[in-house]
Amino acid sequence: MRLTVLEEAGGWQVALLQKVLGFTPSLAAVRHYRPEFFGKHYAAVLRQALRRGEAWSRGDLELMAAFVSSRNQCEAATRSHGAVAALYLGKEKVRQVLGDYLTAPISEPLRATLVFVEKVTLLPSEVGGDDIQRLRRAGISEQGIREALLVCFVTAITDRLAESFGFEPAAEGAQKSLAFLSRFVGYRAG
Amino acid sequence: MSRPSVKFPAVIAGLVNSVLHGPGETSVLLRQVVAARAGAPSMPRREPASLPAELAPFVDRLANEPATISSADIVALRVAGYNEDEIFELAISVALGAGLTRLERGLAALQEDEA
Repeated sequence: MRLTVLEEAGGWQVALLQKVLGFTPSLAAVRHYRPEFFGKHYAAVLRQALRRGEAWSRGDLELMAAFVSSRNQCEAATRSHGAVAALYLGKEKVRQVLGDYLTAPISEPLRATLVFVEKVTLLPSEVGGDDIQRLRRAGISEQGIREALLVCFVTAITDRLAESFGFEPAAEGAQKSLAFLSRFVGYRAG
Repeated sequence: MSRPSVKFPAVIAGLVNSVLHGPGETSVLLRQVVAARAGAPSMPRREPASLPAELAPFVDRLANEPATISSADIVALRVAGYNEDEIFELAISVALGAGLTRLERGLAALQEDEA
C-alpha cells in the first residue's frame, strides 16, 4: 500500500480478517481507516450494489463489477470481483466474458447490459437515451438499468482507490478464500 | 454548471455528504473542486484556478485514466507538501467525482427515455 496509514488501519474486523484469511485485503484496510469519513458510507453503497438485486443475480452483478474493473485495467479489482462471480457462474464463463463478452455464452440481455456498462465506464459523456432504448429492446427493465448503474458507480470508485493506494492482487488461493467469505457474508466483513 | 436534474439513490447521500461536505484534513472547498474536476455533476463549477496546479495532473489522470497512476504520483503529492490523510481524502474525492458523473449520465439518459 502506498500510504502507511492504511497499513495501520485497525479495528476488530481487520484483525479478524487477518486471522481468518492470513492477510488483510487492501479494500478492507481502506474501509476501516477513518470509517466515518469514507469507509462506513462506501460500505453501505457496496452492500446495496452487490447484493442479489431484483433484476440481476448476485453473480451477474459481480460479473458486471469485474467487467468494469477490466475495462479500467484494474487487475486487483478485476480478480477480486471475478473470483466472487466465478463462485456463482463458473470460472470458465467469467474468463470468457472478460476475454470477449461479445462472443461469450451469456444471455443477450446480459450482453446488452455489458455494452451499456462499458460505455458508462469509458465514455460517460456519450451516454444518452439511445443507449436506454437499446437496453429496453433487449428486455432490460428500469430496475435492471438502475442496478447496473449502481455497479458502475461503486466500481468506478473502487478501481480508483486501488490505483491510488496500490492494491496488490491477492494470490489465487487467498483470493478464493476472500471470495467465499464475500459470498456468505456479503461485504460486511471485507 | 447547473445542479443535476436526476435523483441519486438514497444510499449515496451519506457518502457524498461525508466526503464532499463533512469535516476532514483538507477543506470542503478543495474536495469539491477536485470532485468537480473529476466530473461530479452535483458540485458547482469553479474557476480552474481554484485547483492547485500541482494537483491537476493527478486529478485528471485518476479521473480519466486511472490505470496510469503509480507510486510516483503519490510521491509527487508528498513532495508538494500533502500529508497522507490529505492524499487519502483527495484520492477519494476524485474517485467519488468520477463515480458520480457516470451515475448521473446514466440516470439522466433513463429520464430522457421516459420523457
